[in-house]
Amino acid sequence: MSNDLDKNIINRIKEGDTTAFRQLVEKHKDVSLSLIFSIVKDETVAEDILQDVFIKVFEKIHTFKFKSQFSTWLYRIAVNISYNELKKIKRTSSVTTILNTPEALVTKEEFLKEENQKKYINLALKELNIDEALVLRLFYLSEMSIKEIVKITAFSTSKVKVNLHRGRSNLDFQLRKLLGDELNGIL
Amino acid sequence: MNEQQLKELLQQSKIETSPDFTDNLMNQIELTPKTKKSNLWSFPLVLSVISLVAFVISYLLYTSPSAFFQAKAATFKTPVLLIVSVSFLLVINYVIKMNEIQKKNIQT
Repeated sequence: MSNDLDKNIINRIKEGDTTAFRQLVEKHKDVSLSLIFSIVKDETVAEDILQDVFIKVFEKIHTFKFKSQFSTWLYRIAVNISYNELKKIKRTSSVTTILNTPEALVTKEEFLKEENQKKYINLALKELNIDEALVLRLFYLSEMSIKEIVKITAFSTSKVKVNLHRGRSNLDFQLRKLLGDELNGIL
Repeated sequence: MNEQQLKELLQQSKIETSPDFTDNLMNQIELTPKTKKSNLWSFPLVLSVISLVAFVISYLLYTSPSAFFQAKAATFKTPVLLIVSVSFLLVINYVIKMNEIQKKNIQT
């Protein structure tokens, strides 16, 4: 259903309907931003990269032949650009990122507030290794299969599985660090 | 933490773009010049055609067994090759100029 919708929108863009591109952006922007954030770990930088990603997608959309899902193609572009940008950032900046981890443990009540849940989960994900956070988000947030993740990241199947396994346990560890025993009550 | 719990947690990790993200992006896309090249003045295409014509003329003048071309080649070899070379350069120059004009027209 979602694929058919993408196909319809893409065909309209190919016929010259630029406004249809807005629909495509609205549909995919948040998940794409989350994936980019897994790599660069900075929201402002991630949004700038996302803009470049969509401009590239707009320029190259006539070459998209529907051999894969549009989202797979889009995420592959996003991941490639993000890793390239990360290399540039690492080359130009010697400043180490200080993660904004809260010192005190969070209470169950505080975590259960919707806006806080998002904040603490993203904090925990931010503490993970880049590949682990990316694979976790691709698998659980974008609901991609292992095969699709291999296509998107160009990792081997075993690397994807290892990152998925390590990511799960590290995320659990980070959340326990933030929430302590309260995590058992929440889950 | 089981798979379902993990999935629910990670669904919460979706980061939202700033409210004006799509508008800014669409503005930028509309400002991007459409530099789709016309196939008519495609440089590699024109170069291939001209090279082919030059090759055929050279073949006829130098290696053709035809008595007609051999007789003509004896008298006109140098002037013909000169004309072919100059025409070749003029056509390439024209194609480059046409491409530049076309790009300017698209941008304006």
